[in-house]
Amino acid sequence: MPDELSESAALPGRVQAELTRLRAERLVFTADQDKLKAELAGTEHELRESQSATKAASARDAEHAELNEQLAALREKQEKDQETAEANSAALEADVLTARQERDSLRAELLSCREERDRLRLALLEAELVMSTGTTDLALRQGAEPAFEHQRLIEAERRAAEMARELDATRRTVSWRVTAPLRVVRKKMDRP
Amino acid sequence: MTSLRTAGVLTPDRPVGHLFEIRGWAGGVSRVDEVTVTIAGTSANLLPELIPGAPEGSLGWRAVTGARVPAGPQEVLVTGPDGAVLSAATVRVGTLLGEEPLWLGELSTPRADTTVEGHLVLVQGWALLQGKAASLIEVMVEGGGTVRARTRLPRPDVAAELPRFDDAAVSGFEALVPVDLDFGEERTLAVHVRYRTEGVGEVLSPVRTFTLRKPEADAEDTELADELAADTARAMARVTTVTDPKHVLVFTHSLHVGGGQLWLMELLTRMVTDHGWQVSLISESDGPLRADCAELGIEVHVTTHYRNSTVAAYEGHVAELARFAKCSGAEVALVNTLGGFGGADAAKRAGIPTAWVIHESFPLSTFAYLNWGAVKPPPAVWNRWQRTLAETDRLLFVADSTREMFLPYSKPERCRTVRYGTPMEKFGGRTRAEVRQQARTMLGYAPDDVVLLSLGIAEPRKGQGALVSAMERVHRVYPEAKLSIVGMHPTPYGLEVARSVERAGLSGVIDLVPIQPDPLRWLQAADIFVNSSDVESLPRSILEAVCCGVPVAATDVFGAREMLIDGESGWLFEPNDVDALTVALLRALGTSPSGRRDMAKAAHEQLLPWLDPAGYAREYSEILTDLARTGRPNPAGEESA
Repeated sequence: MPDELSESAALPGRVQAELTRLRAERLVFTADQDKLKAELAGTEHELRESQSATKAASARDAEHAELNEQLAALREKQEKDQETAEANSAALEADVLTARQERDSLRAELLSCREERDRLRLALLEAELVMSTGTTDLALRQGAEPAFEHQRLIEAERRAAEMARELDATRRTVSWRVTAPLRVVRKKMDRP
Repeated sequence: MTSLRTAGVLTPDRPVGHLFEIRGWAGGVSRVDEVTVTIAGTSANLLPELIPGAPEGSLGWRAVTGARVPAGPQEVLVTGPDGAVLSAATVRVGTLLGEEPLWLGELSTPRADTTVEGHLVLVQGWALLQGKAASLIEVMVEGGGTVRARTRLPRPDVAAELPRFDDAAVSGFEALVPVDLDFGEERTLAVHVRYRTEGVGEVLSPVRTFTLRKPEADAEDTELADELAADTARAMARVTTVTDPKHVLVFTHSLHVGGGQLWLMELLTRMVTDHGWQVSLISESDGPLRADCAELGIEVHVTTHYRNSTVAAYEGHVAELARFAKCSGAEVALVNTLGGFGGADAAKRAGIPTAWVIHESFPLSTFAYLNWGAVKPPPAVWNRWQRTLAETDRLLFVADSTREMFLPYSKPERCRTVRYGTPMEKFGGRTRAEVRQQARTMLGYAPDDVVLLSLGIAEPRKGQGALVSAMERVHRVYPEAKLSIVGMHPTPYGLEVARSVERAGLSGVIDLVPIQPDPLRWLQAADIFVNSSDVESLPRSILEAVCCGVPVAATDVFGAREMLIDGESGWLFEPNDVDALTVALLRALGTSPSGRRDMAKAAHEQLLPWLDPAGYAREYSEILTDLARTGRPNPAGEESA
């Protein structure tokens, strides 16, 4: 500066003025240059940050995409699992239904077997009663009496004896004796 | 001149019906009405009739029975004016083998060509087959399937009409046949009845048609029900309470002594003492068990019977119970019996997770008919009942068969079978010989007697009448068989069972014992236990018999078939069939004492896993704990995670 001042002191006034103006402009330019450099540095910094953020975002996007894919796959799997579970459940229900139908059918068969067994057992009971007492449960329930036919025979014999007695008594009555000649005549007339 | 009186009877050459005519002649009389013809002890109506082949000078007659004559050989007496027997004969009332048996009876309901209102068809009547109550009566209603009727029901009116028929007094039968109709739907249906006795034959009734109409749902009722339910929901939303996860609110029907109540008391005792539960209890009616609750520190609130007769009454009662439930501090609810749906509904509205124990193996229609009549509750309340079944968090049953019956109302994952045990588990499936001997001596049994035991309150469902009929046949080949029927009380049914024993001359064979608070002695004395009920979910009496080492013959119904294997651990037989019951008794009596012991042992081994009552108490505690933890339903009604 002292050199510049000593030089400018030697210069004409007009030139000195021009020189001063140029020096001032240079200061302004320098300041602008510094400012621009600082801005450039800041911009470059922002640019770098932005670039790194973009990279991170891209990475995140990729990650999201991957997660979405995984999620979609999971959903698909879940849907498939659910479909399988529903199908299994439906199949199980059908199996249960079939098993119950089979069981009911077996139960009906069992019922008919039991009826047959009971029928036979009750027939055996009849036989046991006949052997032990001579009286059958069935006969009583049928409305019969023990050895019904036998009793009928006894009854018939009793009635025949009763009738014979009645006839004998009739023969001994007065009216029988009074009508005796008439019967003799009738017998003779009936003969061929 | 004295005239000798004579008479003859022309006996028919084949059996005759209950009303019949018989012919004969009388000599030595001037008019037919001078003689009397008595058939089976009753004077017959006598009419003059020409009898070809009658002795000369005699008068022919025709005698017509004035009243129905019982089946069997019947004496016919012809007596003169002085009462002297002129002739006697025997006539057989009945049919020949292979012919359709004689049938007397009446199908009282449903009446032909009438309209019946309700959810089911009540088929009632009386019948005698060859003069005896039939062994099996099957009722077939179109759309309702075949149902075996309860038989041996008292019919004093029939007994008065047919005084000489021993079984007339127990000739009644009844069946409830549910038919699936929509509300408001009516359908013309056909019913016919099959009457059968093995060895006698069967009779199929003519088809009778009638109309069944299910009550129509009233739209205003439905609207009112929704409106009142919304009011309750709003009221519930205004209340916030602090609840305790170890506090259970119990709804039950009664605090009187009875099977269901004793089961509950045993459960609550163990839950309080062994599992640390706090219990609050709401009962429809008061009773002596309230004192037991007090001893356990259980708060009891006695309300009225559930008011199911109208929508307003139902919603009002449920709203009151819901408020009570909400303020109880309980975190979980336990409802006892199928009829307790008002309690289950209230707990649900209070937002309390609920387990509902259903002991009854009845369809809803049958249960409703037996408890409330043919057309109750009204459709809107009926829908609440079904919805409550569908939405209750856990439905608990004592038998798988009962669970299966109710599955259509709920979801399989909500339904679970928890069988109960008995404190008699401590006997270990045997009775010591000296204890048995002592019990038999005290009850007056001889050492050679084979003691059969029936335990249960005398009522048509338990089939004591059928048991008497079966014993009538069995004791003739097993005179050493003696039957004790414990549970008699003087209802029309109980009294008729007693009269049946007298009529059959079985007073020395069948011992009728009043209801006993502790029937242990009879179990200790018994050789064979007989359960002849037509509906049983899990008969406690069978458990007790098994615990005492008594082999069991039981009807093949619901829980009984889950407890016994026919021929291995007991004898099963079809319900409401006297023939089947007779054969079961014959099978049991025909099994040697060692065979019977093996049978009892097998039954005990089979039931051992759930005989200990501590087991089901623990299971209930776990279910309720789980419900308290996970089961509180969100507003959508689904369980939270």
